[in-house]
Amino acid sequence: MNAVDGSSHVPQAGFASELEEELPSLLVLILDTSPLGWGAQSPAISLHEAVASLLIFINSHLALNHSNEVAVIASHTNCVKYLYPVPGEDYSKLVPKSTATSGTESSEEMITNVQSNGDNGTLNDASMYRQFRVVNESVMKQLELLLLGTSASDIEHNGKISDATLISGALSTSLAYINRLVGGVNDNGPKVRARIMVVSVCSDLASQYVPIMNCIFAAQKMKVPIDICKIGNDTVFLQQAADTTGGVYMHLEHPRGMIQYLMTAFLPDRALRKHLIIPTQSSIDFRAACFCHNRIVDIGYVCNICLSIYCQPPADGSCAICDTIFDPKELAELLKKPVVVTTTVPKNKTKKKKKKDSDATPTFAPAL
Amino acid sequence: MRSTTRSNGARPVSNLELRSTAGGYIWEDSIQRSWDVVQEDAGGSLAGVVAELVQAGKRKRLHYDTTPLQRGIIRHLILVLDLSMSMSEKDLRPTRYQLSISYAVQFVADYFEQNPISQLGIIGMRDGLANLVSQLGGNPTEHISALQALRKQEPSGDPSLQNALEMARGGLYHVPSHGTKEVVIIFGSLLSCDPGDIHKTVGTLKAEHVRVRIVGLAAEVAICKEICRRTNEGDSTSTYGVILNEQHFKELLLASCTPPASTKQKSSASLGSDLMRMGFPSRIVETSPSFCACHSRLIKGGYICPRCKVKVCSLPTECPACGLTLILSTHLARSYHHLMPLRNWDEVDWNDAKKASSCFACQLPFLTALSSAPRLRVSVSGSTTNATAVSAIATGGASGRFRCPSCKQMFCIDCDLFAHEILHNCPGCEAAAGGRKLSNGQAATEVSTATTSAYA
Repeated sequence: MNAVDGSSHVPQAGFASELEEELPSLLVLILDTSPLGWGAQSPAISLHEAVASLLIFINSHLALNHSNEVAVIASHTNCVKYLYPVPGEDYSKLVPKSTATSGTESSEEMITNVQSNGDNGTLNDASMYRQFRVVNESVMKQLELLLLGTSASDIEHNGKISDATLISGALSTSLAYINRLVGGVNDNGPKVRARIMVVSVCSDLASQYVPIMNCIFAAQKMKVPIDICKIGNDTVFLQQAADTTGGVYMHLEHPRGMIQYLMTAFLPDRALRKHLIIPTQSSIDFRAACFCHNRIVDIGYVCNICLSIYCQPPADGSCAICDTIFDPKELAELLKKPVVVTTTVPKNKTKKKKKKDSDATPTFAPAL
Repeated sequence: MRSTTRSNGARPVSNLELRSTAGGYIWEDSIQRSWDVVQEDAGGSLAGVVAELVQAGKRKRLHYDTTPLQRGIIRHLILVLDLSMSMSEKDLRPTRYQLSISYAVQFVADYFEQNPISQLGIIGMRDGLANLVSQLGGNPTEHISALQALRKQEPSGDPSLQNALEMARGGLYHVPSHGTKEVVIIFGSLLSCDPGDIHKTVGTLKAEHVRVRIVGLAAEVAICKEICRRTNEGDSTSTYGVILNEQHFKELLLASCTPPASTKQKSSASLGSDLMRMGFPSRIVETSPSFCACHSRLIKGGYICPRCKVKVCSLPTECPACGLTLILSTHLARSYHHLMPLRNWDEVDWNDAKKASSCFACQLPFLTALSSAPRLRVSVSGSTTNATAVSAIATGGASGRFRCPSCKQMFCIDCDLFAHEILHNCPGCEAAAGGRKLSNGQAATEVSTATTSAYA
């Protein structure tokens, strides 16, 4: 009755809030804070500059829609910490201080201001948009506390200093947070659309393969895309994460221009990405590595009890992981190779053959 | 004096099981009205009561079987639907027939999500015959479209269990020994119209290691119980269930999506532990479209079989040229959580509750005082699980916190459900560096053992 001319481009009354473009978006940012990882990037980009770019990115995300929300989680070498929102703090009670400073401070000044204040109940500047200021301050302060509290023993794995961080823990925690805010996997339309973005500098940790795969499947089920912003060398697990969940994977060639990568590739949320062509990596190596030699395999042998992959049938006839003994007849079948029959031809015959061949070989003469 | 009832070799039922808590027999008790649990509070609102019932439901779901059993991961399952006259009953909305088909569609989607390298076939029982609805295959869209086509037909005739089981047995005949052979039957009738001796059929099923599960919609039927008991090594309680309501129907049906535990086989030759040769193709990106070998469709890009180099469009599949099973390593990874299940978390008593003020994973602030849980009038005649759960909340025995035994972190009930049903990871264990003492360079042979020791 409301449709006068049958055109469907005008949304019906009361329908606008259910359009996907209008739904608020929750961005969960996972920041990899491995000191060794960032140290290795140091001529190109430092953690300070990266965090400054990320704060601008977060502010832009919050500016796109009034009800947009953000959460920031730090994935450290030995723990996972919420940088914003911090449990136990009531952000509605923060009171602005009456100093008349400009709203565009650099990140260094912000840190000194936060440190000199001491308590977390004040906002430095009344002229900055409140939501931005709250997030920025919380992130800077918690990050500072986290890094100051890290000792040399915390960044060791197995006695050696490593740049590995707990990406699987951060992903699990962020998915649980999204589950709480979105209300679980239900079909009658969530009120908030969520996505995860990971800024990573470290390389893969083999022991995290199974937990990361579990997180990827959970994210796929909840329809949460995982975007990856990779600085440094490529990782396979995170590439698969982005591809399986429908996210964007970008490996930063020039980390100095990080803010531009963030604003163009990562800022548009899921609804807008349908209308844009987003740069992402499309050639993904899905091949598996065998468990015995860590070689990449094209054709592998899979144990059907424990699903471990081998490049060739194990010599002792049993699986190294689950100790099941394979049927020797089946193994023999797999190891069968085609039999090559060689015939020896006497020498004089070949000579004659050659002469005959030279007479007998037809030559192709094109008809002209 | 112990009186026993016997039926066809089943276990005798003793008097004690038929007695209710009040002393007489169960059927002599007064009628239990499940709607008595819902009472309005002082303001006349039901919101608090509903929230409590939801919480009680959540706690009921928290007991998972977490023993790491050996499971059959490569599954071949035949779904048998009852399309006989008894399915036009309207005790399930809109009719048993329509609801069964809707749940069957959901079952197909769930099955292929949980078991990406398995195969499924569908058979229908109508007019005393067994009809093939969908061939044994690995593509979910084909099965779903076949089921949608079934919706337009009407149920008629009598069901024949023997014909359906014989057809299923034929379909599963060629399955290699490392795959499981299963049949799931949705049975809404109380009879079976068979041309021969069904017990012989059950004998041949048992000899070929076919396992049958039945979901009954009407009442318990002796022959169904017999079939389940004989093909599942004497266990008919977990394989044959009769539904109480629609949610229970869905639960029973979707319970077949988890891979079954392997049973001990008598001969070592048929242990089922095999090494399977599989290909892991890489994806190619093309500028101009070319044909895929499986459907002869023009597509841009696809996967190249590592053995014969033909292009296929989607995975997992069998290469149409050389027969090699082609999968991605992510498909194998989907089944890892069945092999290494997450341990149950313990409920925390109020004495220890002060150690955490908010949930570790989602930052939800915990209740701090007993008085915040509303009192609820507990009806004596309610079902036992409901009564204990509700009374537990009313008396404050459980603090709403759950602790993981390995990492000792506390979580809320929503995170508990989420971690056990969807995520299969403990956020606390993942966020602790202690269990992960591997550096990058070590071989991945230790991956499984390390994670198994953390999980089991």
